[in-house]
Amino acid sequence: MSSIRLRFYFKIFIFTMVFFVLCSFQTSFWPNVIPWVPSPQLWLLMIFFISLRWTPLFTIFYIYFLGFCLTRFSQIPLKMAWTTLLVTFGLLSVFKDRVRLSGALSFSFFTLLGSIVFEFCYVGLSRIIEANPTSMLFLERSVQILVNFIFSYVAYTFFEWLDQFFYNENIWSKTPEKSDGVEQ
Amino acid sequence: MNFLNFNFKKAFILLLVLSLPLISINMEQKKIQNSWFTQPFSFIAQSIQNIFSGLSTGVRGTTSEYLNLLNIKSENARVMKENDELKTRLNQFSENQNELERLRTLLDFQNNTKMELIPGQVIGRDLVVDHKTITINKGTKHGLKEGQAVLTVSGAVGYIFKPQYFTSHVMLVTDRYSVVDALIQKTRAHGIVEGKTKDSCVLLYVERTEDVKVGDLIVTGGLDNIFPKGFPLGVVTDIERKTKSASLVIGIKPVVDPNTVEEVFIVKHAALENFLEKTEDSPNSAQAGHQ
Repeated sequence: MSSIRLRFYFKIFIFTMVFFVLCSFQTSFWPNVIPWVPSPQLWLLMIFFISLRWTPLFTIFYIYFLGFCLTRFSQIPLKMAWTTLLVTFGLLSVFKDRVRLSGALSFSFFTLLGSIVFEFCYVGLSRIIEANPTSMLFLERSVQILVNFIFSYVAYTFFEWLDQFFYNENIWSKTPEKSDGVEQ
Repeated sequence: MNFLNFNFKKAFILLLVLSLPLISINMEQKKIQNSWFTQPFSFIAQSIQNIFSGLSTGVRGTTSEYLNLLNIKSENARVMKENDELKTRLNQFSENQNELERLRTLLDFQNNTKMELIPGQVIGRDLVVDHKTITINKGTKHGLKEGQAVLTVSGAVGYIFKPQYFTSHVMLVTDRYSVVDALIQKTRAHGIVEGKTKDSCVLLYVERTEDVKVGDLIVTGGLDNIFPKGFPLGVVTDIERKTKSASLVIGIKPVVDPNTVEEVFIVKHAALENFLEKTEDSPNSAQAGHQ
């Protein structure tokens, strides 16, 4: 197994572990320490990050995997997790090349957009595919979107650092031909 | 004309030089310190002395105050630290007292019931706002299975729907997926309680003719084989009588606030426990449950 592939698998493993940590943080740490403020959905912010940064095809399947992991922390049905995340990913993909922003500001904007889309999709899709659909919970959802937006900068800094940690310029800057030539 | 070639000027100066000490000795003998010509000098001297004395007092005072301040600061820090420690101990003591009371109540409940109970602690909440579940620190390792009732001393909390090895997810009675058989304690009319919002439920399928009032106690029905019969579930908050419907829609507020619950019991075996019979035996207990 080549070192590039090994590094890739390690990256996926670490991101998955981080996803678990973020879910646990939201369900078991934040509500016990600051119960009066809803926890930021850091796991959702991570999904936004990989939706914006990683290659689309792989990201979709990875999001499905994360959606499955999500059901370990919630009563959210798998169908709801997958459909909502897929629609959110699709809309983010449509917008990501049309917004002329970069860095943390761009991520904060996409967090705001993604959180709104996620909440609306959840309500809409719940009415379509669930027998007993969810309520609007307007205030709770609004506060959740706001908290996500507030924490987006910190989350971006962390995810960016983590992503860069696995990025090897020497490997990715080489073209295959050149690389082959050097090895031969 | 100077016959002896005598320098008078020098002689005068010499005389003056010698006479001044003599004069001073003479003045000392007469004690003339308070003479008129000394008074202005004395006044100036006193004034300057007073100024310097005042200045030195000020400097000494300031220095001493500064030094005191330093001492007070360190002393204050020490006292503050001591105070914080005492406050922390007091808080800890109050917390322990509360915990002791709570655990004593739980123990009494566990000892006075026929049910086999497993105590558990809430360790997590649901990830999304759309679902109302909690995670407890007991799982299949501790003998938990799907469909076991979860309750507190005050009333029903929910039931286990996703047991794992070390932990279990509990569906609260307020979750929209939750369904619990219930009855109105006063009239014994059966219905189904479904979750509605994060702190309310709804009792469905109760006949229109039933005499239900706001404040009536709703208890578990026992037909779902999850909860023991007659355990407090909620209190009626509103009654909706739809004209074209044969049944009532009754709003309920759970007796246990599922958002703040910390310790729960999981019913391993209900052992045919019937709280309704107990309630009938002691009318006051219904009132207590109601409260």
